[in-house]
Amino acid sequence: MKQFTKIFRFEFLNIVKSKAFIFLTLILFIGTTAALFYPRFTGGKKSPSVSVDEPERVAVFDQSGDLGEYIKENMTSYEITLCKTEGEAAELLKAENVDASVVITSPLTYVYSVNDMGLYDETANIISELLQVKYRETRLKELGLTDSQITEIQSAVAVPEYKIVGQDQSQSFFYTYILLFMLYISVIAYGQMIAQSVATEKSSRAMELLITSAKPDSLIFGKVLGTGFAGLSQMLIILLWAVACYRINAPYWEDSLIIASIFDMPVSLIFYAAVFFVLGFLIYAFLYGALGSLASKMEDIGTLTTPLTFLMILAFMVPIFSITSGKVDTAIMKILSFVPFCSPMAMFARIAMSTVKPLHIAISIIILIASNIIIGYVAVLIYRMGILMYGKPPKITQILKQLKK
Amino acid sequence: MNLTVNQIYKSFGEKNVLKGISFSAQSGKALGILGRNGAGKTTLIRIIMQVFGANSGTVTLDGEAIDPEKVRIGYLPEERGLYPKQKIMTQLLYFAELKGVDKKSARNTADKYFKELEIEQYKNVRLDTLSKGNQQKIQLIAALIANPDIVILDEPFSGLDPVNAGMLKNIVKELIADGKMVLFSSHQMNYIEEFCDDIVILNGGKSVLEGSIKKIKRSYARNILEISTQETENALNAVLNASLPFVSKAEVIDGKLTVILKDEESKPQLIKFAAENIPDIDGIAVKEPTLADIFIHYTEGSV
Repeated sequence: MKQFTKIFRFEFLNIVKSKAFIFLTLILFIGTTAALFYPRFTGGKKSPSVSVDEPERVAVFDQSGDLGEYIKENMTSYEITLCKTEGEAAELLKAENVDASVVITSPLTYVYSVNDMGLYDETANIISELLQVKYRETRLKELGLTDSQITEIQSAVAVPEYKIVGQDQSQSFFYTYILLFMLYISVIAYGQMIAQSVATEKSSRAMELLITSAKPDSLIFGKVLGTGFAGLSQMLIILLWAVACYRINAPYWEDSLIIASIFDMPVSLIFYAAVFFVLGFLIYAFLYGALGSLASKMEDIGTLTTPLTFLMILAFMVPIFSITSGKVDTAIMKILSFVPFCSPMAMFARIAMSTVKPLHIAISIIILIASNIIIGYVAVLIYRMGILMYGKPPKITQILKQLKK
Repeated sequence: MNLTVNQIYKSFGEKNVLKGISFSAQSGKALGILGRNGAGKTTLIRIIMQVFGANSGTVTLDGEAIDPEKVRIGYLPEERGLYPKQKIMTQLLYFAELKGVDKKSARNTADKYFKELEIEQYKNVRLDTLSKGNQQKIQLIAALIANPDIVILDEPFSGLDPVNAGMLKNIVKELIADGKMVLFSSHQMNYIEEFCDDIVILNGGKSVLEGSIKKIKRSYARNILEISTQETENALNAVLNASLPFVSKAEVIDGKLTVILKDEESKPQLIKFAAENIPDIDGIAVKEPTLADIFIHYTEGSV
């Protein structure tokens, strides 16, 4: 235990003092600060608007009469050109003098032409809306209603009152995404770092002294936990700093629902995030450490860790696709919530964006803890064998054979 | 303290590396561990240092198993290795701490050796900025920083220039004078002869010879005489022409007339003959086998 603390401290300080770590922390720090202070300095516009790929110049030709004028009056944010013929509208579009053309063929039908359809092109919807309003107005007038009656009918809107029993996905999506991404990045970055660090000790033969000075269990646990703790501290500091920045600038963020939703994370979820983050990180980190011990040269690391990295990518992609599509309770997600290497992300995504029975959460966490213990044990076995082995890295079958003994 | 290694067997998978190794070593003395490459020296050292256990056999210190909490072992591995990118003092203190030595006394020990090895200016630089010889010195400090009771030095002199080798020799002599037990492995026989009273030769995973170098040398037949003279050719002719009945062979080896007698008892007769017939004799002595001769004798042919 004494040795473990010494190794833990040494490894922790190694990471924290390394240039890469300081640089990354600084970048994250500056990035967070800049992003969260941004609206304070941009003044009036409090939330960064999503840039929308909308046509701004529209050519309109109306066969039947005065609908062109009507559209021009009501679409003030657009530059509307009224055309006398259909051909003129087509010409303008072709010459790229306008971004889109509208040819109205009847009070409720029109042709919307555009060179490239933007992802967020709302123009057609606006025109449809305008034409519908105009059509209703005309028809209602014909039926003999007064203007005020018509206005009342036109402006009637049904307002829903939301009562969300489970999770509001529009609220939870962003922080879930961010946390999953952070776990993914941490595992990949710090896992590789652990594997490299072990392989360096081997290739520099510092291992010769290490193994004669300390127990292999202390060595691998010290390294994995020391490195993990460094990574975790980094994340924590950045998160706390982000919260502080947000609090300082809260008034400027009032309009931005996305940012507000991120910092409005329920406390229980912070707890789950911490649990799944730590357990998820460790189970991978142990294996990265063990695989690093099988490498004799730095070049071997890539080959050795690739399968593990792929597993991590898979464990990341499935929940990410699920939360993006809004369906987090699919059969595959339910299964993955209990599979050790996938559950940290899958189960967390489900807890955050859906309603999961407490019993299921408990089972998932217990399975994960048990797997961590087993994987930790296996990692020590592999490590103990690996650190004394030089030459070509062994195949998995050979490792299993050795482990049996 | 008395370290006793008794009938150590060790195999890795199908491969039997050690097949019965026994020897003993005492505090205040250096034991030379000799063996050809692949004879199992590193495996033996690792068993003594409890990196892994033996299949059978025991390693005891004064009759008891070695307790790493009480007995410290310093190790200079043949495969040199420290952290290349770390500051020297930082890593030395780390290794000392792993062995359970507090930082302060480790720092004192390190300072002492830095001074003695004349590398004080490198305390706080990265290891990989040092020359090979200086890295070697750091490696030695790493072995000694925990003030160990037992010091295992595996090829400590390889790659050192004569000046550095001299400094290192002094330290080894100090260690022995301080009553440390030194286990010394090297292929450079002159160093072994310089420091070690006793040797053990490993061959094919077994200890094939163990004992004091002097006694081992004595145990060889003393029927070879070396006659030093300025005129070797004349001397050789004199011996050959006389066709002495007690001489089985005479030849010039390394500028000396070397005469092999049929038996040890004929020594006085040859000396008498030489005194009368060979002019200008500088000296005459029994030729003892060198350590290299003994080593080759016991290890040739097999590994």
